[in-house]
Amino acid sequence: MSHRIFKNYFSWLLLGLLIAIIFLPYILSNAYQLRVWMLLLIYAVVALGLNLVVGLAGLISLGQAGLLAIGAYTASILATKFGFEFIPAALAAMCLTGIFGVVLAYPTLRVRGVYLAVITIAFGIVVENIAIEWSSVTGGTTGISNIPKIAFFGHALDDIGFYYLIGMIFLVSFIIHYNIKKSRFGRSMRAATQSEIAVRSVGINPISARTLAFTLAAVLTGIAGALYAYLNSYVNPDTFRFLDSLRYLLMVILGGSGTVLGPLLGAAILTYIPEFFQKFGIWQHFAYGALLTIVIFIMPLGIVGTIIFWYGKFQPKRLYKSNQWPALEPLVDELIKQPIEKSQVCLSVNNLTVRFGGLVANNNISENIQTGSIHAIIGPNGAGKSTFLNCISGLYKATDGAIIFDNKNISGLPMHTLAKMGIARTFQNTELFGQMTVLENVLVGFHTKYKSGLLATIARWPTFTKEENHFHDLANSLLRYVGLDDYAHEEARNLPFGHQRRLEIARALAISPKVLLLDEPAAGLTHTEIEDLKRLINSLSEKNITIVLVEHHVEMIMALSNTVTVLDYGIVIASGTPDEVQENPMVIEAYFGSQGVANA
Amino acid sequence: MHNAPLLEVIDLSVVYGRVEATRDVSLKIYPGEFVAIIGSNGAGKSSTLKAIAGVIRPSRGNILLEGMPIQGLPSHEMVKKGIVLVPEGRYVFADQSVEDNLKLGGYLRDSRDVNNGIAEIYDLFPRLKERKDQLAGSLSGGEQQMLAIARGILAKPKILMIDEVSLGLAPKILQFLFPVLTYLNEAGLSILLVEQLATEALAVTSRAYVMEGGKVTISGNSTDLTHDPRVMEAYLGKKNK
Repeated sequence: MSHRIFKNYFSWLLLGLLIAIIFLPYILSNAYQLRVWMLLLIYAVVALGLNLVVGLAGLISLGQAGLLAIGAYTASILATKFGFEFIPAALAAMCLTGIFGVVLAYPTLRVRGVYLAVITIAFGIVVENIAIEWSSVTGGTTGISNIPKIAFFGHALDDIGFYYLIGMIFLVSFIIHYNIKKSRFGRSMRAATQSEIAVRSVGINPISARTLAFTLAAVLTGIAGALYAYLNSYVNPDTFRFLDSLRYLLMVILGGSGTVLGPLLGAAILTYIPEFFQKFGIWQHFAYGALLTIVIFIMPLGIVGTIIFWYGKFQPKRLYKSNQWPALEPLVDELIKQPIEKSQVCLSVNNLTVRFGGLVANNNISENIQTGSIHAIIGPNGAGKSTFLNCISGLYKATDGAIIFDNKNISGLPMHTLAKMGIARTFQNTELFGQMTVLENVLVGFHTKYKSGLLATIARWPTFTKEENHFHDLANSLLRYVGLDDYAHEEARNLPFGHQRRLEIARALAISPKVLLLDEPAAGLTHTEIEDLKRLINSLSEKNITIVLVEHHVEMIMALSNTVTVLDYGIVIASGTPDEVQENPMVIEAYFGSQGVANA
Repeated sequence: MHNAPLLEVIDLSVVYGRVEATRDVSLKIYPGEFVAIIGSNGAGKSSTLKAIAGVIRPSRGNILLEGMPIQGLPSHEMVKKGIVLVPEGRYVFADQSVEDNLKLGGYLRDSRDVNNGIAEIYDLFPRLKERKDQLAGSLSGGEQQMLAIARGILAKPKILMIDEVSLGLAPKILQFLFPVLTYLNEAGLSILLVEQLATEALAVTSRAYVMEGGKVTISGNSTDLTHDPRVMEAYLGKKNK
């Protein structure tokens, strides 16, 4: 079973790296070369951590040198002033940098992109200056020297022993990095950068995903810092400058951000190339800069990223097709079926008002939505239908009024909290994770259902593997339900628009919703596809899922709905059975137009 | 009556990742025609339009405009040649005003001509005139579609391609928009329309192509297609009796 998730190539890669690390000292001719390799592996650990931030969470940090400094100084101070051995000193360094990782993630609450980059630069500069100015603790510009040789329980390690220790820590970091990338945590990080709204809609707080990325990166940088201090036997502020931060970012980008091997390759190139260029004398910086510029210009995806891209180009192409849908399998049935509720009303909206500046998008709307019913909201474009859905799902905050769900007033609660309570939705303009596969899109929907925590995931505990397999099966089953199984391993952005809508429904169903809000699910579908969609919605209703449907395909609404509410200029102008609404003159005037329902 | 086609597409193939979206699609549009492409999702309709507009590069095939090969040109060059796409999902410039959106449509033309063009647009779409200073993002879906079409017209295209005119629009808006397209066509504009609402598309166009699984399967006169049993069952939601 497990071969589906543990791609064989990774085991081979790991074995190759292990052998290389074991035999490297026998190939190298002198102690200096071994030292360069030790440095390289330490940098690779920093780059692996940074890859979680840059490659997975899609954020930028130009402050990693600051984190490395915190790790290095913590270990040095504990070793020289308090006589700590390596293990406790390194653990303390990791804890402290971890805390600073959380601190660095905090700005992502508000800013991303260039602004975040500036904040992380500022962080690095602050750390550097503290190291310079707080001389009583850090030794000022001269730094801390005489850091003892690394020792375990009184036994000092020789150079080769230290090298193997670094090699082992690198391999463990490499495994952690891979296991995070190929887990729900890695998926949630990647998803959060592609659509923040969509991750919220399946119950994931994107801030947690980003904090996790920053914290893990910081912890890895912490241990790298400790190793760095012991390797040099001294630390000073010169090696923790902005340009160093820039170099770590370059390692990730040059190697291929988001890839498994990219950070290692980038670290190797940026550690070895400067050594090589030294013979160019005064031209060395010029040659170095020129090389970087050319490589990144030719390969914006980085070296590994570019190789993967061209590999994909030569994969066989074929025509894909939608399979017969809806195809309900027992697995999905069990997943989505809701118990029959005793209470009749599932969602109750009281005097809901939403204002945007002077515009009243929803004006004093009161509506009861029956459990297990199909409740349609119709009205002209701009009548406030989407605003109404956005309020119920927590995307917008109502200006006034209450929304009662599960006997609680949920008005004002954030979308990810409501998703956990059982309110799922799709989006008018589709919000998919475009650069993730169709299958991964659905797997992100299962995120909050996983029980295995971070440690079980990193260690690939048997419970984790079992769970991961289970959700893969469920996701495949959900894809068959909406007829998209043929596309499972394609990137979601390559799907035709109408298929993207179905994928959104599959992802929304992954959270086993009590209420499903569908925003124009039939837009862009042909008559035949609308017939399939009607069957799907009916089958959901049979499983006691309450459906709130915003739609313009009148024939579909009239055939499906138990209740139709008509909005115009943010006001409810009619609400009742499809027949009642269809004959209401106000509705005909506002919505169906002069030609009436027959031609709509 | 038509001799040389305005636009000719020969054996066009489009690939995304591993998905082959169209395979060997051939179409002809003659000057002044109003032609539809209908078909289900994944049939390759939008991909065909995007390839003609230069939004994506076709992997194979030729596109001829007035007999000259133009395949592979980037989309801004295509606009210069006179091929303009009104994209699926409209893509108006949300944080610029309605009037600025219109001016951007005429970016490549003389500004005096554009201003005259805008005046004509306001006659055609009085709603846009009422909202000319509003941000495009604050318009309703129907108004945004009007704006997207108007922006396309202001580029003064030889052929206007519209992807999904009906997407997410209320019936009343559609009753307004389809006649506008007919009016524009009668005034001399060649239009290629991709549309999911096959009934509406066949009612306004003179010819149509039906696509299925990346290929053109049926083509012909729109009124004939309305009565074609294969089309009726699959795309018009009518059972053939």
